[in-house]
Amino acid sequence: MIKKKICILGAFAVGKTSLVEKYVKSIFSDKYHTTIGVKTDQKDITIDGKEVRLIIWDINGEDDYQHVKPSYLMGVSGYLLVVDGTRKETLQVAFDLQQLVTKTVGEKDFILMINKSDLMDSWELTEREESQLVDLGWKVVRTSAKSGENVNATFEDLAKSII
Amino acid sequence: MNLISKQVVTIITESCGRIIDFSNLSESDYCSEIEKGKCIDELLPVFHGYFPMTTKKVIIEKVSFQGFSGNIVITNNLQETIIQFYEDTERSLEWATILQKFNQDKLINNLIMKSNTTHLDSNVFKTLGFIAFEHTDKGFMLSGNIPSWFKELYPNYNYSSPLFELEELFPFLEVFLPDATYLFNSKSEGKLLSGLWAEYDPDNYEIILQATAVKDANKNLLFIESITERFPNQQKNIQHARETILEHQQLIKTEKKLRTLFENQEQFISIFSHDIRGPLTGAYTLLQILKRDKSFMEHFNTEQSEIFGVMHKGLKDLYDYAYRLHDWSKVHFGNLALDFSNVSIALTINNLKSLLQESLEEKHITLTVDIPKSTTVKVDEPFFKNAIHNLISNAIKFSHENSEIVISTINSNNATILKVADTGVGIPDRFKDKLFEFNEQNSTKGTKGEKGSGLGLTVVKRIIDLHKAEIHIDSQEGIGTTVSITIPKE
Repeated sequence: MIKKKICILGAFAVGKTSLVEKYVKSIFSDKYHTTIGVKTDQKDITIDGKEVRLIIWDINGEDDYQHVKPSYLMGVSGYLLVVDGTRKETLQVAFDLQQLVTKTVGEKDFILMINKSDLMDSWELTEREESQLVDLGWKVVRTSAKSGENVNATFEDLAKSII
Repeated sequence: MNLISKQVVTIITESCGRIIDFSNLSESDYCSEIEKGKCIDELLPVFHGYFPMTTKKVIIEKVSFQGFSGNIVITNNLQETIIQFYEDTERSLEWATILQKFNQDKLINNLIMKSNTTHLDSNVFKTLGFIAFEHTDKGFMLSGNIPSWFKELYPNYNYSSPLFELEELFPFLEVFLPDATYLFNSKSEGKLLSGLWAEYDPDNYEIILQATAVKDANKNLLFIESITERFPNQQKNIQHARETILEHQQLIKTEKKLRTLFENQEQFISIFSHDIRGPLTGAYTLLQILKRDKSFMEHFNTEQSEIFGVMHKGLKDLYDYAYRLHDWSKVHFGNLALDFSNVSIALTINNLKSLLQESLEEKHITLTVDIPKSTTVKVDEPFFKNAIHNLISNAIKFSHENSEIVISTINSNNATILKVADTGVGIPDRFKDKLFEFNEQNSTKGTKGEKGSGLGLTVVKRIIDLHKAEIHIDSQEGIGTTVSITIPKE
């Protein structure tokens, strides 16, 4: 079985842990539970007939209280950057983390998940900003850990691109 | 070894390990990459897992790396973390005293002492909640018994081999074991703490773990400890801080939205109240002309006259309301710059009489102005006139027919006090503390059913405040009301 390490990165409270729980365990909780350190999880999937074990590293949210340790990125094959669509400021954190990853382990495949698409009434990111990200060559997907929109597909898209 | 023992290398970091400042850097390898803004635990693997600091003081004893050999003291306070590097030479005796005083890590020391005996005490690790492994050429070999948390995490683990594939069990360790191996292969004793990570048991219960690599003279050991019970405080503090930040960010956004709404409202009221005045003035003036034209009015029968009267009154109310709304928006939203001049109070009131005449005549009210023409106040004339107009209009509204309104002044050295007194219905006590608040419900009908907007006194108060004057209302229900305005002379 092929093993691939993927990291899920982003500002605090953007929904990283919820996305992983939705993908791995098909559960969702509205309650915010901050992640301290790292949570590792794994999921076995089959892609193009190949069995793949995704080792998912859910790394603590980046802010003044906790920083992503570059050493945690060691051996990463690809990563998911998560932004909260209702908090524009989380996009800058995603930019910074993308640079940190590139600086630490070089260019790796990644997908930007703009999460909380179930809260469109509070949406702050404009379509123009989203299209600017696409213009940068980034793969951008709106997701919702609550409804499950694009969650499985995004993890599996990333898996396809790294095997 | 290039470290000069009397000049202790000191590095100051934020609690997360980001370097703020340093002093006495030597030419040793380990100092070469020290740079402000970088994280110490990324530059020097020996610090991996120590940040963010959770204790006040940690001593890393007898550690060697990149040209340094000695002891490191990490002192943590709320503001900063101070890291001091002590070369382990003749200062070792002095150092022992410091160790005795500050060593916070007696637990690991005890374990090391035990490991120096012929075999590891198998029960102590289990009792303390550790799972312990000895690092051998073959891999990580279990030393001692299995703690309960490990059994909960891996209830079906096959214990047939004493060798454990730790990276299989704990993927997180793939980033820690290279550093631990570096320590195991070094010549000096020391220890290395990992960051925190979480695993889930089959019931999805979260178990928070931390690994410690220990090297002593005889053995290389790796401990994994469940800190789940100690963890909630740290978790709670960070969670609370983050929730506060989220709430704060939400408040800022809400305030911004409200501000925009308020600005839109301001703009709407200002434009509306300004633009509606023109057509209303035109229509009202025409009705006034027609009302005074006897030849025109003679064509109306009684019923038509009544209808005309209702139309006239309705338009007058609307006209008054539009003017008051405009005044209110001007004094509340406008970017006002007052133009002060000496204004005669008596003349100002005289100029207002034509505007008030109709209302005074309707209720047969006498307006007595007991003010010498020479009495002047330093005010912005249009605003002052507006305030007086509002006060007299209010007095008329709440006065009975055939009564008198008296306007007078009292002069002192510092101020002029202007009084507008009526013998009307007075103000009920329940309204007295809300007189200057705009609230449609505060508006009460006059003695002849005159309607009000509720804006009048808020406009007066705003104008008085702009003049740095004071307003006082003395009223008794059934007796009357006296409004006093104290206008400073300077």
